[in-house]
Amino acid sequence: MNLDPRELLASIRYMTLATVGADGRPWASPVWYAAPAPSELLWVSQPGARHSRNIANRPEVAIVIFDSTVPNEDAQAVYMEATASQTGEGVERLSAASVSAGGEPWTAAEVTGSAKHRLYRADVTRCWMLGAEEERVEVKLV
Amino acid sequence: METDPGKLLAAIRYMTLATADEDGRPWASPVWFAAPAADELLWVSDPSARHSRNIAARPEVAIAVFDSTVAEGDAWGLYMEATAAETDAAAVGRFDEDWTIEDVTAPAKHRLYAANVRRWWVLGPRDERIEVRPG
Repeated sequence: MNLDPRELLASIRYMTLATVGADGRPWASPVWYAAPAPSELLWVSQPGARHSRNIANRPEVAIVIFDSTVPNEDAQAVYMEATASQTGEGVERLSAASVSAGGEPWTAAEVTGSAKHRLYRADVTRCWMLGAEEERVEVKLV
Repeated sequence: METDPGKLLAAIRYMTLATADEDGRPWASPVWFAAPAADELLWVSDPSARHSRNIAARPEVAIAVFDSTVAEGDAWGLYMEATAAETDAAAVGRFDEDWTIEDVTAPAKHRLYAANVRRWWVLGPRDERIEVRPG
């Protein structure tokens, strides 16, 4: 069993972000992201999006990254607990990841001032992957 | 663009289930599911799994179904709000014909769960969510 999250983080470009509203109701959002390190996920969102409003209210989030198209038996997944926030720093790392994945570059002007998007980051506090019996196994991020 | 929840649910067999515990802490889990109807999602889980314990404490869930492998900008996604609970094992045939009532009844370690979906949204062309209804 390969319990290194980096392979999945490099190959799966969309994470699911689980957030919770002020009323305690959970919300699930697919979000395109970049991971300069397994402990640092970056993405761009509109502050008015439901998940962004939830993060502003409660920065604790959960994340899962997996291939939603593979058959059951081959499933692997990276589960994370993280603290998320809007950030003014790191757009060049997000941009580099986007370009290397065949996407468009991002500039600071696109995530500041009158632009409709902002840069967000999640600092991963705990991480798990699936073991041989499909049980979650905690993975230490270095 | 396909916006019928029933058709989108037929395209992908993994959903991401967002649950919260009694303290309101979120959790995200990939779950293999079947959708006999757009408002009825069925799956099999261990009741001791973190998402199952969360559902026992707080039945309100959110679900996203999407293709996690597409390139940036090609995304489609179906977002749902639902109420989830363990459900009658007799319905297991609607989940998967290979599963039996015995497979989801004590002493087996799994149980059958159902989400009753109340609202659906899809991602529109300008990255905004659009509420839709099953066709």
